[in-house]
Amino acid sequence: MLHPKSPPTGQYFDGTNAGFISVDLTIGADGLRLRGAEREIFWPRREWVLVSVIGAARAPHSFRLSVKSDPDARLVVDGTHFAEFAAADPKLFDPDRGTRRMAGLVLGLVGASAALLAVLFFGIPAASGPLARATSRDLEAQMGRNMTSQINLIMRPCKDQDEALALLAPALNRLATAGEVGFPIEFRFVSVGVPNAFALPGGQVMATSGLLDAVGDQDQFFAVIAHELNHVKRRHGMQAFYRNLGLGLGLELVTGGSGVAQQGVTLAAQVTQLRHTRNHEREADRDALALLAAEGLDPAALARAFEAITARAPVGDEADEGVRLTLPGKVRVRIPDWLRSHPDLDERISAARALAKPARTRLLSDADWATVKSACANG
Amino acid sequence: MTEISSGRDWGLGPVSQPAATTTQDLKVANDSTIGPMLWIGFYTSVLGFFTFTIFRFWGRTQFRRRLWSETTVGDEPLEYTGRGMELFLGAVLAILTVMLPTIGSVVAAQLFLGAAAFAFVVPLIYLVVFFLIGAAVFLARRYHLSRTTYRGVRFAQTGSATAYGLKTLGYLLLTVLTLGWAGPWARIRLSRNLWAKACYGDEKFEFAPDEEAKRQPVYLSFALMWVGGVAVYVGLIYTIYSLGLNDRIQSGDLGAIGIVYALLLPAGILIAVFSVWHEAAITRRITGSLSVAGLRLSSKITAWDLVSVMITNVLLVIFTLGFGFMAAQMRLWKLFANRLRIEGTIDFAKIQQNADRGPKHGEGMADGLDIAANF
Repeated sequence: MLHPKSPPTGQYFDGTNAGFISVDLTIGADGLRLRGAEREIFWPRREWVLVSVIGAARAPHSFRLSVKSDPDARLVVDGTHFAEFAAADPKLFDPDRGTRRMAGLVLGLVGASAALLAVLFFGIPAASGPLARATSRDLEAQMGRNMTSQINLIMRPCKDQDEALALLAPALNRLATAGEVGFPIEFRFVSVGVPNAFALPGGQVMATSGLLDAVGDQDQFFAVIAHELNHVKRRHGMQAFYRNLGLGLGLELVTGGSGVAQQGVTLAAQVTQLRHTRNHEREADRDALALLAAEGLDPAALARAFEAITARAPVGDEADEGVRLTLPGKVRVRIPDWLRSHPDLDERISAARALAKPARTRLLSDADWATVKSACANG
Repeated sequence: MTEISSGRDWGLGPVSQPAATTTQDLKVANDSTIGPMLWIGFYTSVLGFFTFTIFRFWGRTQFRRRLWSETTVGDEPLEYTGRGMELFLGAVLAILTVMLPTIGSVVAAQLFLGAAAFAFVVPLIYLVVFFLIGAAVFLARRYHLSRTTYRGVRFAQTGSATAYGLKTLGYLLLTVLTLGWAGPWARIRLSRNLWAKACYGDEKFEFAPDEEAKRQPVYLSFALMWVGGVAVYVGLIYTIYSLGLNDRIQSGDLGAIGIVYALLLPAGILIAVFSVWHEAAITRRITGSLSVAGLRLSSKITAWDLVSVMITNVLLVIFTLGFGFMAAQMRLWKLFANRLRIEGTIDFAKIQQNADRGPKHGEGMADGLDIAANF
């Protein structure tokens, strides 16, 4: 038992009101005795709670104690008595205790986060394929139609394209049937200057007026369409939906706020997403080349289409395949592979060129192609 | 002397001497320094990265504990009693009960409704989100106050989150309909709604402006902010179009985008300059309306105070790559604390503990909606 020559004093807030009384303190091996206002209270040592330490951890200005059985009560003690209390309960007053507890917490959180990371970055993308295949085709088609109607609020369909669509329908059906796409294709042109084409879930395919302007001939056009049809076949849109929903929702919910950490985690997630997007593009390219070859069309038309699109695309745009970025001063920098939404363009062009074979057939007559080419002439 | 085994059984009651507990005019001060707050901000961000940002709940708690303990009212520090785990649980519960169903409904509406129906649903979604923001502000404040004690007595927030959420929504619609002109009035009404239902112990706050608070140029300063803001906006748009930047941006010219960002910076500073006078005036108006247990509050904050702290805070955040965000918030808190005056006489022994211990978890919805503040 400790017997300090001059007992420490403190301010005691009993937790029932905001007043305090000055108390004399006696620290014993079994606990703390508070004396004041002609009364006495005993706080067993096992119930002590160190609420806060004001000032430096080893030489505080003051510190506050409470007890588990009376969590509202506070005893404020001058920091000069810290050592006496620390001698009575070295574990509770250990200045490194907080650091050790924090280290334990962080380790636990890191472990839990690793599990969460595995689920979000690997589990959800891995599950997106089976989930997409398990989704009923009718549901996917309905989703695709609704998405199209919403997208068309922003990307307006070209005004006078009915004749062009009628001319295109047999060719599209032929490619879709040969490619075993598995969905009826609903195709339309949208009035957007950037040369591009894209596939939504359930057989919805769109091409921009910019693409019509960019491509040099119908072979290039159908090569791009063959690529999009294979996105439909492999249900990439549906996979992306599940992946984005799971990853996006998970990230949005887990990483609140807008701090540096959130930006870092979000960036990591975007890089992960890009990896999956590149894989889908590779698959669609590979299948498109096979489909073109099987239908007697020249696979190298896809390479020429890429070149034509790149030549027309605004720099830095998605249709530029995200390969190069033009900085102020016309400085062109190459974007690293892992930051691209699409595979390396040179590789894609080379792969298509490697399979070059003169076309044995044409899907449209020159006159029909001219009509298609002018589908967006009136905006 | 009577010896009893625990404090609660001591039965002290109002043992304090009234002469010792009656206090005249309380000085408010904060003596926080940047260094420790920078350190908390730094390790919260770094550990946040390795813990999927989950550590933010504990980092925020440590920040508050330090900030509260370094803020004194009448030489007695505030105490923050919240825990990181409470914030974490609040976030998990909000995710499961509010955020997921809400986001799920939005996604379902996007997928299964046609364009016309979805266009109809979009405004409804916004209304729900603004209602949720109001409710989240209320719930966060309820948690916040319940975890703030002064001289061993808790603060508390009574009232209803639903009612506050609906009022927030209503005032917001009114503000939109009046092109912002109902904004200051709505903000004061909402503040009154919160403060008139806040308590220190068993003492309710009162919200009634004194003569000085009434004299604050709330609407005059708002008029300057509104006119100045519109002028800056129009000037910005005119500059962008007259330089042909809009066309260059659409063609993906990064140089043009850079110019627009370079224009946005002075525009933002100009708008901030127009805003601070109003911000200072409305802060003085709201603070000067508050009283509790015989004490009247007032703020001496000025536009220049706000400008100087805001500018240096922006530089602090930029030059610390964002790690200094908590330190910047501390500086703002410090400014508000050091400009706060509390006058009157209070008998602390008569302030009884508030029976409401507050929610077991908190701020989840505010965190989910990205509006959870560090203080």
